[in-house]
Amino acid sequence: MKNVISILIAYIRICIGGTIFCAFLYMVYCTCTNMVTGYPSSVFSINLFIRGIFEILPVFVYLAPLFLILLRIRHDDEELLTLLLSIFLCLIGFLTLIPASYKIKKHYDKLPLSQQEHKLQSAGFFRDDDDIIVYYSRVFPNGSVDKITYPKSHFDSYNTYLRTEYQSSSKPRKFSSEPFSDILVARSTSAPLLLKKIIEHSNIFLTNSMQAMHNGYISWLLFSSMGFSLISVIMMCRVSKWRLMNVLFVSIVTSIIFIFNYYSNCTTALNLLHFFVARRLPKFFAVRYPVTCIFNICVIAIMTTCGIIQIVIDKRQKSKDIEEINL
Amino acid sequence: MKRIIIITLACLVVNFVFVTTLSILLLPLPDLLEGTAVEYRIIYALLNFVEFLEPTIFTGFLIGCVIEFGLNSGGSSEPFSPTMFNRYKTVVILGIGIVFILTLSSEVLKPLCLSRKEVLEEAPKELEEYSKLADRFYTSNDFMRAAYFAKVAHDIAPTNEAIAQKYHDYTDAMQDAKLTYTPRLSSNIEMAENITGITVKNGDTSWTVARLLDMAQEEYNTENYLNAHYYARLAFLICGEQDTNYLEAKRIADEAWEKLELPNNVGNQESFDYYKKKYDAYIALCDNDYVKAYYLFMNLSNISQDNAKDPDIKRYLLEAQEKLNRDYFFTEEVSDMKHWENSSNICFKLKKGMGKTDVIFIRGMSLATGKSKKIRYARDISIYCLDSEQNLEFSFTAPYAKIVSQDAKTLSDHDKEKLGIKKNHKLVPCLLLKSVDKDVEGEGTEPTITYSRRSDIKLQDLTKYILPMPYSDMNALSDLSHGASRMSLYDLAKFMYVATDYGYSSVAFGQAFIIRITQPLVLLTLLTFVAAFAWNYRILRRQMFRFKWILAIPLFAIVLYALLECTQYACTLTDCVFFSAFGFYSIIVAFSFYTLCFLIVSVIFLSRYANKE
Repeated sequence: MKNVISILIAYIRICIGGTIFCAFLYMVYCTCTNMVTGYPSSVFSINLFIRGIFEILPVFVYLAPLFLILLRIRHDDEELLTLLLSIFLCLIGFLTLIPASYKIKKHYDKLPLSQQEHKLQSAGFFRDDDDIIVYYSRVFPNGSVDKITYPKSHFDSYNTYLRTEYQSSSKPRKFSSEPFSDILVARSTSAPLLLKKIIEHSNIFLTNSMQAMHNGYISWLLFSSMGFSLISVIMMCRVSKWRLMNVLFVSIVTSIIFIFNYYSNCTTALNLLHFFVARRLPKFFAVRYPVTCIFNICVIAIMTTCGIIQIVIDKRQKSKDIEEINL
Repeated sequence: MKRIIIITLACLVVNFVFVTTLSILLLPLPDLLEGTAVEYRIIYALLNFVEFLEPTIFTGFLIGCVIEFGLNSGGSSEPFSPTMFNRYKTVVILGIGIVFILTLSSEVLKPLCLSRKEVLEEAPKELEEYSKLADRFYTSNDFMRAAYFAKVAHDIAPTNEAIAQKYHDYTDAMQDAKLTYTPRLSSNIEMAENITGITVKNGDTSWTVARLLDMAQEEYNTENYLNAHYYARLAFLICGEQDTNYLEAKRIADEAWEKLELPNNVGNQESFDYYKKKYDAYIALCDNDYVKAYYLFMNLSNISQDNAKDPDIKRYLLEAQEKLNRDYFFTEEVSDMKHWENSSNICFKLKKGMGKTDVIFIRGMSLATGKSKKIRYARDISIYCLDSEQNLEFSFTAPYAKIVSQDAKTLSDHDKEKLGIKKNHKLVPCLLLKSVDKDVEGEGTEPTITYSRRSDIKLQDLTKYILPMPYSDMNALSDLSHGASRMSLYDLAKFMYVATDYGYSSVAFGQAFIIRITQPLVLLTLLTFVAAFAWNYRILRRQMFRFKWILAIPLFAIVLYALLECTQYACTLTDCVFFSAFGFYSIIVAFSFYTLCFLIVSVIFLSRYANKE
């Protein structure tokens, strides 16, 4: 019973604690993207925080199986009840928490942000882009600027001689600072490349996941097949006698499931394969991404079979050990 | 403890061998100068080693702890056991050692490698640029500058035959055009040191009027009228008309002058000519025409060795040079400046009096460190002066400028107010914008006015330009081109408070400072957390470590790399919150927060126990 309660608490902690912490960071990130140096601004915005909660919650529901598996590995838990509870909690999460959070998020998307968006750049700062440094001496309400442009090199790629120039009432420069409004803020707060890629792909994945949910319950159930395959990894949490190796194994398998589902559902990489498989399937199974479903079903089948075999072998080994000790 | 150290070191060695081999074998080389490929590969390998140092050490530490805790897990059957405190001590001691190594690598080794890599990568671009500039000036018949830029290009790539040929051709063209400019590879630092030694010297003014009068009288008695006049003139200039010594000084000066004007004791024509030249040069010096006096004395000194040894010539040449160097510098000082430029593309703004602003761009800056003083030289400097409405008032550029420090006390209150010099500014930078050739009169560089709405500003007035800022801030400004991450912590700490005044974001620099200063504490917290994690997933006591498990270690490193990146970015965003909420007090808040985190993680570690084994 103690283990059952600890699993329940852990699941709640993962989903709520993780979501609140990351929603806070989400709020800071979003306010930073709107920030322009020189204007007073705050990183706190209650609307963004609430929106963040419903944006981040699905991520943690998707990650919860991994954390529950890690917990099981850590405690060498072999109880069937906790195993079933973990699977049940994760399934409930996929089928209820994620759709609910998408529905609420839709409402918060319409709310205005407390942070005022500054379209205009501020005067009096040097903005350093790749090949040029720009200084706005004045910014007019109509968006035009007085600026000094300083090329970092004397010649451009067309061999034109470049000089430092002052231009009055000209157009402001378009900096390569997306999604940040100000390149100065982007330079200090933008994420490292690896994380940027993870955030970018996660966003695409979540958008697709939301789309699948809006397409109907069957569509969502099929998309959630990824969730089922994620939790099925719990069956294979004892591949090695070294627990850390098990941690590594489940982390890698989880990553592979995520990556495959992402490429299969959110990119055009496997379109041809989807097309061929869809043609050969009976009409009833003709879903949008058949390969993804087949992959996830295969993962579930392999994990469950191997897991059961593993449990049987372990039990036999244990009873052998006990016999040896008794002898 | 030993086991953890050995495993961590083994991971480091494997990482070094792996990264170095991969870097050397697989690195696609960028466009580099001939003969620099090997150095570039080594630098690149070192940089990659440093880049993956953190996850590697963390992996080694994790595996080490997992094995160590697994084999020695006894004595911890309940939370906060004394054995766990001993383990905690080991973890913290090792953690501090690791943090020290990581900080050293990120604060010292990484910036060094990055600078060198940049130099190697930029060299072909610079070579092309200077070669093009040389061609450009050659086609516009500016042979002097063409030869100069060809020389710079030749120095960047001495083995490049085409460039060498260009350098010889353009130098010949310059000599054919009878220009005497000769770029020298002289020891500029020493030259600068000598010159500054003279410039900053308080000079003769440290003598008292009475002492000057005595010296003047002595020189007069020994019939050395030039020196007698010099000392007497100096005495009456210092003391003023009200002083009782004024009349006496004036008398000696006048009498000496009379003797000087009647060179009846000069023998032959040659001696007379020599005396006449010396006299003319001295008059130029007295008339404050130091440039003319310098060249006259210099020419006299160059005629013969006897002349060069003449104490009058030596003395007044030095005197003229000293005065000249208050307003000008020698072109030779910057002839090979490109080689010791340590920062490029520096820009900053300065608020002046009456709401005016100066916006300054410097293409390259070098620092010459002598025995007593540091001097800076700026290359290709552009200054835009904006009025109180931020409209352009006038702008000018100068090919070179020497930046010397000037005591703010020497400026009047009116000037200080006009320039925007604050009371706490003791030494301010003064740009000397015109250079003269050391030997040839009329050669040198001077600024060009590119725009002017003001009729009162003339080119001849643009000799010196005082910047209203503390001279010590030049250090931080010259480091700006490399970004906040490459600035020294000391400069960063100083600069973040004034960044907005110079046209930069205080938030960005403040944030960078907090990240760097709290980095060791964050790393120590993470290492303690890793130790707690290792305890949770330690190997079982009777479990032997299998060799095949070693193969999984690189995968651990990859997972840890991703996790560390995420954690550090979370810290960046947290620091952003601190800075936004608490401004400059955020340093204290951040420290308190991370200390709290460390304490919590420590409690988590200490509360670990083994319930069954």
